[in-house]
Amino acid sequence: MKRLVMLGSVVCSATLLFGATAPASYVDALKSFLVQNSFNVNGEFYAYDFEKDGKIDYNDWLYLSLDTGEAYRLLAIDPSPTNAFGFAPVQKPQELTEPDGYFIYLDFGLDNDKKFSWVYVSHQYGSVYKLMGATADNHFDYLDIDGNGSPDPLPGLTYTVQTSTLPGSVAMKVMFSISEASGSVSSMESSVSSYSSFDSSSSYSTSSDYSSYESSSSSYSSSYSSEYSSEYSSYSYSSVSSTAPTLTLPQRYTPNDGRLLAAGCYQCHGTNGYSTNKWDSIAGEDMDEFYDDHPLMRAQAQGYTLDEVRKIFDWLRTLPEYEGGESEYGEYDDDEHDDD
Amino acid sequence: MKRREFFKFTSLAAVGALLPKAANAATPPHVVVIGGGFAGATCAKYLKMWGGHSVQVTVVEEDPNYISPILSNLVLNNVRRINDLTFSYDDLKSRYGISVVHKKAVHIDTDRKIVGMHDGTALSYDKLVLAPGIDFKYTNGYDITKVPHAWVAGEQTLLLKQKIDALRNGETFLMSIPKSPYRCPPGPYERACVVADYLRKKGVRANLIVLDENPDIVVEKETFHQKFSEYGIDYRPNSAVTAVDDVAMSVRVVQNGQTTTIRVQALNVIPNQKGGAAIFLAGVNEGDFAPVDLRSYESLKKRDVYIIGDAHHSTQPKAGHIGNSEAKVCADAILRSLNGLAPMPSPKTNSACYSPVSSTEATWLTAVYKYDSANNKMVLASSTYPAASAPSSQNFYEMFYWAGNLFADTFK
Repeated sequence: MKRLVMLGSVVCSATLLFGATAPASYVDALKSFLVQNSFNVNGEFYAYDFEKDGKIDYNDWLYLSLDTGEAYRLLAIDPSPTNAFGFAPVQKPQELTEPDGYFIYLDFGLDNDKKFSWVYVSHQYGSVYKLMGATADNHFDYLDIDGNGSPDPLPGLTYTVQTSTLPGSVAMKVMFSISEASGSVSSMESSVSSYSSFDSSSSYSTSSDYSSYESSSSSYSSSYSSEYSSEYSSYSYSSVSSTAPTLTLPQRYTPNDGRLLAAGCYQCHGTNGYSTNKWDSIAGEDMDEFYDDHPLMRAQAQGYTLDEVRKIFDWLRTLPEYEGGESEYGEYDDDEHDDD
Repeated sequence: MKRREFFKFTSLAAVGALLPKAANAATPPHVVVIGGGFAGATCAKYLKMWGGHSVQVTVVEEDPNYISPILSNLVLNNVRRINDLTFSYDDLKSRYGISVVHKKAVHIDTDRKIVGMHDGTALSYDKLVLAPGIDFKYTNGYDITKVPHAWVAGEQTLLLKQKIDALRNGETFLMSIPKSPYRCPPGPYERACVVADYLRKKGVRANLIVLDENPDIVVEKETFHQKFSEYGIDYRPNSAVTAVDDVAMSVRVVQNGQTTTIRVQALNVIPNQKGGAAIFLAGVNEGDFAPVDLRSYESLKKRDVYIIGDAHHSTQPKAGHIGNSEAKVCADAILRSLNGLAPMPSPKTNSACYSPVSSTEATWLTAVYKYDSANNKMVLASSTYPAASAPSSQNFYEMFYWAGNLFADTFK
């Protein structure tokens, strides 16, 4: 019963791979979900040759908990309902260097079965694979976009890992972002061959599909002209709130002066820099945004030292830019909007 | 080089059990926040957003929902409804894992670190945040349903609206402005303008008297003097209301040592103010407000008690936007303290306020405060209080962007 198959890009044969297809709208929605949130990572996965036999076997995977610093071997014992992956504690090896990847739980709304609402972030390839389910004989299915039976990475998606260290502990966050149309795929040199049937210029290239998924924000922009009609009654706060990104609470507190200073911007620019309306989002932005033409912002800017502004933007740059809510009201214009 | 990629598993009973759980952790420290307004709700949210699972947070708030005083003058002229300004605590609960207890704190024991509730239950805390907002110093025992202050939004706002809507040609509306410090410095002047504009647009030629206990308009002097003169508002500085008669609809006023009684058709007395009840229950007040270390908002009188928003004593204005700003500084300082760290030595806070002066135009005022360690004071970080050069329609719709993000940053 103990069975776990490792798939290497060189040795894999298509018949051993299982893939589950999903509509393009699912892929787009998933990418949007990933981009709009950040995810905490509780542990790292390493391919580790326990037997020192020169090959990575099905159970040659090591999980290192960031919470406790303890190491576990995957499928060291028979899986059970309380230990679905047969983890058993092992001595932490000294020679661990870079993790191979992370599993991240999503709780993504379009996943009917939340048990499988996970992505595997492959550190080696810089790719993200979506877990979709399991087959009747208990193999995992990963998302197979082109329907050729083998798993595909989510196209046009890159990620960054942010690690903050406190004495005795590590907190790690993964943030996803949309890359240029084919950038992330072509950069995966060794893996490209195994996804040869994946066409990066197909309908999955990100920009157009992505924006069409953002129907909530586009309907918001289109309502702009009527929003401030003479009655002022069509402005609805609750309709705006649906675009607010969900978030994952950290395991522990990590002090950061830049984060605290940046939080002083959020009254006007939204929590974590994600505006809920047409005022500009500042997440992921650079320092020049600080020196805005808006007279109120100009006044605010006078109150912060250059060192403080640097700290603020060092923090804001770690936050993924909010693709959905890009402001059309980013620049102040005296002549605009005069409604006489 | 090792050959590896992603992997697949067998016998997957529950993927949720993928990651081994850490050994039983000790119960995280408990922060109790009394008051769920701009300061209290923000503090609770940011404690959880930054402290996550390392901290438990409970908000004690009597009311099931919060009704924002910000924008509430626009209920008077039908631009907003109370519903538009009402916020539930659902997101604080569901998104941040905050407990919200709708009870009234009636007893605070800072030695045993316990908060007693009106129903006999109690909460123990490791850190206590007091964000009770303001309370009123009434001149005498009059009926506030007949003479509403409308300085806490909701029922009071609607009562005031009824009075204003009932005004007829030739009748007089009188409002009084409390002695500084009071909640929302531009608020009373904004209200006078909004009401004057509303009556004018309705075609009601009523008189408007504004009694101000302060020697002059407190903020945005030029703008409000200009608007008052345009609207023909009878503005009387140095005028303290010393008694209110809710039957005769009259006030006794002392202006420059001279006492008069003014009788009108509609009264809006905004009483002088003090910190909310919780600071007195905890014994952290000095006079009407509570002194704090402005790097952390920890009480200067009791350890592990923090006071944010309108009830603390400082040079910062008493208002929702800066209450939110103070709350973040406080939340961060509490989390640092729970981790054995000192607060950030030089925090910044900021204030911004858009004020409507009619149903189509607004003005604004803003400031950044920095910590002056020599005097434990928050002082202006730039030399002036910048303000809008003039009221405009652009400011008017920007006001809703400002308020929308402020509301979301506090309650969502």
